[in-house]
Amino acid sequence: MEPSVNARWVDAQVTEVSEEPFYLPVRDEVAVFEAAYARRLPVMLKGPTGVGKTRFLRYMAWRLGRPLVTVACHDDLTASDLLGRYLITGGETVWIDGPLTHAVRIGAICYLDEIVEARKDTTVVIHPLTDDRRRLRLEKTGELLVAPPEFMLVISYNPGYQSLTKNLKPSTRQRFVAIDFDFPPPDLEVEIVAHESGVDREMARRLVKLGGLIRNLRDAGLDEPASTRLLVYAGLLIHSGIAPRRACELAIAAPISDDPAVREAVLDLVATVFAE
Amino acid sequence: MLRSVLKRLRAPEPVAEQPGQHAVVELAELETVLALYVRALSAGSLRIAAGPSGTRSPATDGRAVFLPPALPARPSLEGARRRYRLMAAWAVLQARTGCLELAPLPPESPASALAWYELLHGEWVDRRLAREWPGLAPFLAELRREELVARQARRSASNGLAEQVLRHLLDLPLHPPAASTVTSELPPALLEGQVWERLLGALDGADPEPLRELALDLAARMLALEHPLDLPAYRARIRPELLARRPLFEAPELPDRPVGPTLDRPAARRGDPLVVEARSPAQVPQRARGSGRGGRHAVQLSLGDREAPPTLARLTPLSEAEKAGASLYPEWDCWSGSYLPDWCAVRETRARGGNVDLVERILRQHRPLVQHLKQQFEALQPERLRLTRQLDGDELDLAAIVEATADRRAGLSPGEKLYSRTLERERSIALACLVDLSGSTGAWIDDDPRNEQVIEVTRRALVFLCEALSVLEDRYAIFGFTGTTRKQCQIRIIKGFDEPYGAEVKGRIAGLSPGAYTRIGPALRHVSGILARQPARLRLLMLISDGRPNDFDGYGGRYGIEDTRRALLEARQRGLATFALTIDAEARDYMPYMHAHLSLGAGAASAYRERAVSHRMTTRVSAYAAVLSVCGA
Repeated sequence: MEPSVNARWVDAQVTEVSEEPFYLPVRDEVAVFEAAYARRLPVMLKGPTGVGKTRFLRYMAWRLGRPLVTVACHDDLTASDLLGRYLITGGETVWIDGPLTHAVRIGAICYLDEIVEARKDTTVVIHPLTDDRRRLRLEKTGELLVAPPEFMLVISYNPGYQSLTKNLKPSTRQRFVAIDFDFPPPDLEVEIVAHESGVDREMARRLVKLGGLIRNLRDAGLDEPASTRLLVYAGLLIHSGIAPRRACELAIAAPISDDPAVREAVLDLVATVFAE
Repeated sequence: MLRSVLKRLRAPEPVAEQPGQHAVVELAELETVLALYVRALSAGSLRIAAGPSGTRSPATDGRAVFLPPALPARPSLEGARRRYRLMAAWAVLQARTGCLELAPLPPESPASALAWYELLHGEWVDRRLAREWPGLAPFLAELRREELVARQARRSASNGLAEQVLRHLLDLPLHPPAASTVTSELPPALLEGQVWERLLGALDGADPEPLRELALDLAARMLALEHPLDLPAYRARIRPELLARRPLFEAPELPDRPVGPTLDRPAARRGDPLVVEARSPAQVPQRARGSGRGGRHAVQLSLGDREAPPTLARLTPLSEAEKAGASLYPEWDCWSGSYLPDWCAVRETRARGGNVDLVERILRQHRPLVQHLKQQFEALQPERLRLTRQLDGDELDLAAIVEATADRRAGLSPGEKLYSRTLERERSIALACLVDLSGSTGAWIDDDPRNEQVIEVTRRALVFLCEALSVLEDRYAIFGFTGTTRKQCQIRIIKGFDEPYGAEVKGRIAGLSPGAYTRIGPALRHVSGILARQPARLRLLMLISDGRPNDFDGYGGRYGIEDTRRALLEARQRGLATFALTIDAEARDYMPYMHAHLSLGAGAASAYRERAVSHRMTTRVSAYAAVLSVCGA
């Protein structure tokens, strides 16, 4: 193996989390995650977009002092993309580890974000890593890797917007400890929005109130209602001097839905919470 | 007299004629958005509905917010929109804060206490609203100022104590706590016993409870209000009669189906699926005509026990005149166990068009649901794509191979995706939907709290179906059937196989109206003939009916059921897949005998929707059925 090529290829996905990321625990998720890590159980983070799944994982990687390998799954992601492949460099064939293989080798936390987006056959390659064998077989090189104790596999999964055809197979999902994520309770969310965006408590409180109202539309035409992330974005715009109503229109109403009626209703809610 | 007439003639045109002056904003235009708005504010617990025409102010019964059906567009359209929004928010807050719990109001002087309470709690809700939803506060303050000015301009009612209290309260600002505000010139009745201080204190409170006590106190002092107080129009009225209706929404213990001098219950209890009630012919046209609520009570069914064997009239063949221009079909005579050849004359006509707005309205009202259905149907959409650069596939992808070879020659890593694959999409499904338009579809659905007519449910079902199918390329047609006797069976074409779903078809769906009788057999035979000629691999025949086969000339009871069953069997023998949906709770007694079916009754529908639409909607049939079943929900 030629280290330079290898390093170049996988570096992009590996992060050493050196500074403590801001994360406010909602329930016992930190303790659960630590227990799972200690017992070498794979973890599944379930929940809608923008509620802090990725942030939580960065926080945990920092807490546990492990590097984090993140793979954003997409529908063209193949098993080779995870495991590695032979590349030809100057007439020579070189094996390059994929991010999963690399994470196993260095004992990192491997995070497969939105795993259902990946091709069905891809998810199967993680199976032997998730049970007590914790092994990874590289067919092409004939290598059999045994994961070190520090290695941990984490997947995220958003049950909300996946279509019927894209659902996690029971045989996959039942290999994980599932931690449910939902929008944080209002008090906590106020803290989060205030901290992340820099707006004052009062403004954060109103943003959170707006978020709460919009989330009531969850089953009425909105698949993914205003996430904490969107509230933070609106807060950032407000903090930079954009008028609150306009900021919410830009950061919340517009991204949330293309349905004109829903958008109009959201704008009405904005006008209800924020005066001109 | 004459002079005044002349004067009037000379007078300029009344301002009312100017365009824009009488412009109104109708609730229907804003319905979709307001419904979402109310849903969001009330965490999904309230819906909106139009109040009776002419109402100026909102009301709520704790389940729905009743809004005026129209508001004048003053000062502008946007102004009316804001007013609607404020009204809705006001009513939501009223329902949410427990203001509607009227229990401690006294029985001895209820009207006066209620009026006082309405006044006080109105002020309380105003303040609470401004705090809770500050975006609405400026507009609310504006309306309060307008209200005060209008009241001060009105001299006549100024002497009432309630009116004075209201004016004083309207004069107070919304924002600083009311208790800190000093008001002079109070009527002496309020200064005794610290009523005014208590009142101001209660207005700042988080709980409407003290207001009730105060209302009792004030009512006792005043005994009765001199005039019924005219409260600001943006506030939701307390309507005890609406609140009293609340349990009615919760427990569907409506009076049972009217049981007149009929014997159909014992018949059903006998468990004989073949004994169904046949209406006496005289009643049916009456029901068909009676579109009012009375129709519901007119559903008096008489026992059609095993009716008399064929009468002489039934054995007379059709005359040449009766056959002219018609397609002829046989009918199964269960009494003799044989077909009666060329027995029924079926004629096709285009369905009449109606007001397309009706369809648009359905779409507006159910937009999220329709959207959801479309998405679900998209999942059924097979992809017909030539997928290139695949990891596996039926063919080699030459372009990819050339590239990979070149890469390898160049010393680069060759691509791995060397195959191509074609996903087939055959346009091989044809759906014919046959809709019952008999007089009985004008009946009201008994077990449905909304009291809809069967035809309305049918119409909604068709709109949903068409919308959902518009995302697929399945070919489909919709036929309605009705008729009077075997000589005049009618098929109304609502949508032909080759017609697009557009304004014309929508108009025809809107124009559906109950006709006469339900002679299902010939209609089924006719439409299955049309369907069988469609080039498709899978042909589906779907029957939407309110159930009972029935016609004037003895086509009812067992005879009708047997013929319908036979017609469905024939369709299946022709290779058509058939299924039936009924909008009638009783249909479960006899439908299984004719066919496996799904009930469109209100309760069954929502349960079915949960199951079918979200999870098991894997086949076309169940998908169509699911679409239709949601219309009852």
